[in-house]
Amino acid sequence: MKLKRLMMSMLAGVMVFSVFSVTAFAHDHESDDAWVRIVHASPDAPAVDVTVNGDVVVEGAEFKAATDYLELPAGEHDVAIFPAGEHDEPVIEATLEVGAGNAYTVAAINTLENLDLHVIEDETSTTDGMAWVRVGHLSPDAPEVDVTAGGDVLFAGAEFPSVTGYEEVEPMTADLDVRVAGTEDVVLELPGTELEGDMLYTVLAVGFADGEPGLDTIILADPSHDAMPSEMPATGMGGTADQNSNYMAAGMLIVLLASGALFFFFRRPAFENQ
Amino acid sequence: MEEEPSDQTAETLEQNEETATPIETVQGTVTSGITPTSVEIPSLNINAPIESLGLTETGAMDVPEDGETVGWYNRGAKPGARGNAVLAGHVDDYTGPAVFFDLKELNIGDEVVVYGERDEALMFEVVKMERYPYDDAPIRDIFGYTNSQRLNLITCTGEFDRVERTHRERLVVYTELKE
Repeated sequence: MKLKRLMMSMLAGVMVFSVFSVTAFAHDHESDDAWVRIVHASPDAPAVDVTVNGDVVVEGAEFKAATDYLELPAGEHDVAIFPAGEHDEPVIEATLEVGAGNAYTVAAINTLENLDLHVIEDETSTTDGMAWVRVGHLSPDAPEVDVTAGGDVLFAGAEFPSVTGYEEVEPMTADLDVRVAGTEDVVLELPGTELEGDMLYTVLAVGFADGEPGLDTIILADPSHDAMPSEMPATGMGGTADQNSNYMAAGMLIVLLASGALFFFFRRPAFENQ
Repeated sequence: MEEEPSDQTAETLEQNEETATPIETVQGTVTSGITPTSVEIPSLNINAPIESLGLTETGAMDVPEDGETVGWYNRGAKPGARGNAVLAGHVDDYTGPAVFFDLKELNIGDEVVVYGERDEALMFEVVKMERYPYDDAPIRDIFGYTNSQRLNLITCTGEFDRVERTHRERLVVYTELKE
């Protein structure tokens, strides 16, 4: 489908980008770099291409599309948004300053006529086991709203254009409602939204309250940095590796014995727990 | 001439606020995935049970104890949800080839099917294959959030480093949910 093709091209964009950054920052991405993702939240704007410092990072992104995080060195970057395929005149251009180790969501907001870039700073870690939630009001014509979870007000009085701070909640499956502020009139409902532990959720309300495309949400669900592994899995034990000398075979036997011992040592308690 | 349309806009906005009470509720879209129980890769004749795994003490993604089971990283996305779901399987065990030994033979466009607790089946398609040094893979791209519904398969590749006691590289097969 359309969306899929779009995601593929975004992926291509990310890949191109990573090639550059990987060579430049082979061992230190986390500390020296910033992470930036771009969200198309302008309901009546066409599909767009996005460039960073002149390099195309996103192609043909339509309304409600969000890129994955792009890795950028800390410092200033020129971000420009063009109608898809037409790079003569940007629709909007901005200088984005990003700090090392920080993550940002940059949303193209408001109507095409009043297009603006809204920069939101993202947290990357939750308290252990908790879910962090925040909501963004990015619907240009919707009134001030409250957001409730299971009937209780979680966020009050969010106005366009704004994104609330994070609220910490226990992991749960929640019926989230967006209401006209101070009333019980539900404008948008998200029943059965799973809020998991060690996850950060950014729920962006986008679209027109009165008009097409209508109200919808973009939900960005980021695993807490601490929930991501620091190392890749050790998915091999060496049984098919070349064994071209006795020395190697001996080495392997030692490895085998050592791993076996470790295995026993570490695994036994786990078994008892089960 | 120019005042008229802007007045109209103001009026429309006012009306909106006044008529806010009978607003029609819109239902938003939420995607949720499945808890995977087995994985099938028809082109490689692989059909393996899945075990739910977290982190090791050193912070690495944990792996199954045997060579025939595939591990699903349970602190990440569920297959089918937006985000990166991750499966890891051994390339070899102590004596010979293991479940993901042939993973490197996959091609772009090949299918990977994941089955869930309630016998749900989700079909994914290989979109990219990359090799990374074992200690320098883009963890966030593999395990972090993505707006796509992705399933990434990891196994070891490259020479076995007897000092570090691990293969020198990791193969990551990126797949995406087929509509």
